[in-house]
Amino acid sequence: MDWLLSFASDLDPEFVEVRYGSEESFSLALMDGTVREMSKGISMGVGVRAFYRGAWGFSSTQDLSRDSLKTAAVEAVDLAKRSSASRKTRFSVGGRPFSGEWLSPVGRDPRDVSPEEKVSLVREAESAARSLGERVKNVNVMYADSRVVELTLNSLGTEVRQEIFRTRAAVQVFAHEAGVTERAYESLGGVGGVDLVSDLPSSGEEAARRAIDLLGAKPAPAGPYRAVLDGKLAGLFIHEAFGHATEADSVLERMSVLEGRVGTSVGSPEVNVLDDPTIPGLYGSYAYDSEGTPARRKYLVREGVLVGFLHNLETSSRMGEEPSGNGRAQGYGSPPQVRMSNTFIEAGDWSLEEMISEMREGIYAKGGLYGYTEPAKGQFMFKAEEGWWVEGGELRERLREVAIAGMTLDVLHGVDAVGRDLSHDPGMCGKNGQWVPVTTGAPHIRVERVVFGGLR
Amino acid sequence: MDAGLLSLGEEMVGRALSEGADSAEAFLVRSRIVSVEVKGGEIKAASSRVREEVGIRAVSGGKLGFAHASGSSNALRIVKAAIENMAASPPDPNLRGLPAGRRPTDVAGLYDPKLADLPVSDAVELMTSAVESASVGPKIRSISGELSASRMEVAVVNSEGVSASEERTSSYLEVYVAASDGTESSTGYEFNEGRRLDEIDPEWVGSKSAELALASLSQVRPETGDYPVVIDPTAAPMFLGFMVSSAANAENVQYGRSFLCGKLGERIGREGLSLIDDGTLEGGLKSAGFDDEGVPTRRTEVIRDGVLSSYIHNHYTASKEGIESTGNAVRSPSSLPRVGSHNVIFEASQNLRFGEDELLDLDRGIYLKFTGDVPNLANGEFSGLIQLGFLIERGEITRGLKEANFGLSLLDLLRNVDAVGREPRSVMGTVSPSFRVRSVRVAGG
Repeated sequence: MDWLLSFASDLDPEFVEVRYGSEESFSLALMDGTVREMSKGISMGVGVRAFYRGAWGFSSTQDLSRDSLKTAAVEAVDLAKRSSASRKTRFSVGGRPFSGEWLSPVGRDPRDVSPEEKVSLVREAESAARSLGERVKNVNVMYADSRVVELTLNSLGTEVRQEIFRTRAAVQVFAHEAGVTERAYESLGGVGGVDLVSDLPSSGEEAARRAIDLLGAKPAPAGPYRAVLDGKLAGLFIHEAFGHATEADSVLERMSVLEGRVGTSVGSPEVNVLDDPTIPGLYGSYAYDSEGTPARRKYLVREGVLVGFLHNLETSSRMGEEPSGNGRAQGYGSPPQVRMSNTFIEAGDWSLEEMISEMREGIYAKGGLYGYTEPAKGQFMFKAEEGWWVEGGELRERLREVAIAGMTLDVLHGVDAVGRDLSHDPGMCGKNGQWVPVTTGAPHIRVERVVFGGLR
Repeated sequence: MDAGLLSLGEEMVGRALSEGADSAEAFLVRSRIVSVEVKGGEIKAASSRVREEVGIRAVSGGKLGFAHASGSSNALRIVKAAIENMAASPPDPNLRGLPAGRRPTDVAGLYDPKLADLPVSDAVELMTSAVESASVGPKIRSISGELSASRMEVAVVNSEGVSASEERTSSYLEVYVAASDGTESSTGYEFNEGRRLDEIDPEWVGSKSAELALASLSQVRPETGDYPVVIDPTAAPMFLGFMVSSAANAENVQYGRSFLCGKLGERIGREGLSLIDDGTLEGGLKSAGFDDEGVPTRRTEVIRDGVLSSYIHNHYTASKEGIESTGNAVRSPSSLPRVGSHNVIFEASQNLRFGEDELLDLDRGIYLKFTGDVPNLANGEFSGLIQLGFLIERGEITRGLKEANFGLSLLDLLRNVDAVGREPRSVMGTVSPSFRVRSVRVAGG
């Protein structure tokens, strides 16, 4: 790839980056006891990204012949120049060069485990779910492993090679009784091998139990309530509602509610938030980002005060900061953007029982299905899988899926208790059509006021 | 030009048969996507992505193996992987081979040469004009957006006689505007989509998104209560599109995942309302001559006059019930065919038709422009945030909404539609006018 970098550099961009990527993947889908999909995939290609006078050009190809790679380089530089033609905002992209190599730990290498053994693992998860009885209507189990190689070279002198193994599995259960259907979902996995998903049968049982429990649940009431959020839901909140607003590209585009707030209070003093790609085994972990910058642990919020933003090479250059190792791309076919890794609220010292026992009336919401946000407005919505109506410090009535909305900073300021039970959940995060593996994490937290969008 | 993909497909299928498959299928897609991106009110980036992806299904008895790859150079390598997966896979008693070859449906308007060969400089110009149209004053704080133009060749070849290929183009232009008046912040969003370049109107998209952002600067948390809600075509995919693509999806029904299970032949909506899955609509964003396993597309009445009259099927779900596929196989080359919708068309009888202005004729109501949410497939309940919406007061759209959640069940929605507009618009392939639902639970401050 060295020759391609020097070929592209000779075309006179201000900065240029060449990334080669390859991926081998295996996946399995089991539906109601039948293997519906056993799949293997291979993909490889090169993406060239060029920068010129404040604008970027990007071109990717899967044809690795010398001619095709040259065409991609010419096109990337040409697209950068065309994009920059009318630009008024000029800036440069710079920084230190990095070099290194990282092979992620793999534990039990998925390549050494036979398809038959993977099939028996997903079958065990199904049986565990079925063991809860007739009300379990439909069980879907998926398993996927991948090995990704990424090589990044740029005109600053960076040369980084990284090889990452990821393994993930999930169970979705639909339960049915007397005309009512409910569902529940459990997933596990991370950076590493098959040992990361060996607990899949317990996930199957857990998902089935929850789907069955939900059959008897009531719709949640609508309106503002005091709330306790479990780690999954609070983790989703901190990722969607807050984390995205700390991505420096959205700050520069004036799309972030956190613009101009570094050093000020953005939440109650109970709140500490981190982004840390260096935690071994988590799904959002890596040693280098896609631009070749080494990964590091950083606080976003310390005792309620905003400490800083997440950066890639462009935003760190423009804002005079160090790159934070958050420039990530979905693969060789997409340009890196500012992205989160493992983002979470740090543990506090409350127990769940203490939080609930002090509540006169409110909702204990559990399980994060998904969420989205309006970063400029600072407004968010996320979906809890289930909940409990709390009265007089006790869990009174089980509630089913419910939407929760609010203004991000109001909620963070309203946090009056942070639990000691931090947990991390693997997931895929989407931004501008690109998906990257992340984890969301948090302990239980209690919030003074959240708007619930129930049906009654 | 398609000879390349078809002959590669034939070679892959031939190889799979010679290596032990009873039947085999290749699915091949070659695409080029050009896009221009605006950030902070200026052109920020342009990109060009060329992709070629292939997938191969190998079948023997009830056993199925699948493999996929990027680049034609890997195409023959993965045939072996598919055969290995076929051998390792336990048999599926419901697997009944692959669809037989039939002539694709003639569908016009899938390809626009102007879009296929759109020069980047023209794309930059279109995007610039969208930004200019959105730059309507000092309250506009930020403008971002994207124009994307794609050209795609799709081919399906199988051992049962399917040999189909087609060229399709599509484009979208979106603009996202953030506005601020010093105290309140708001956002506005609009877009165009289509298979032809002349369906893209950058001035309209730019000025509309700015208009929406400015209009929602004055914001209110609605009082919690029941409101009549007018649903804009932009929000229709989340209700009507979902109803067909997910709820009436035969795979979800057969596995008992959908709230429409066991309701075939039942009245589930108001008389006079129909939902049609149409893969043959001229120039439709989700139209095609054949589906993603080579079955000719058609028009399927999913809800006819309020009665659930058909689910949508691919070959697998249809053969499980001994019926014919409705041509609704949907996939990417890296996955097996699932069931999905084509264009979803919402139709209403004359007595429910009103002018768009008449829909607003309410003392107090809500105008729902956009929610990014999806209903719960299991129970059909929808609860989500009104991301872009307005209060209707005495027949006029007045203030923007914030922190407004709403909840309704899709079955109630179909029973409670009391007025449907006259100006349909295609949004992500859901073709619907604005329509009004009598009573929806809205939760605010």
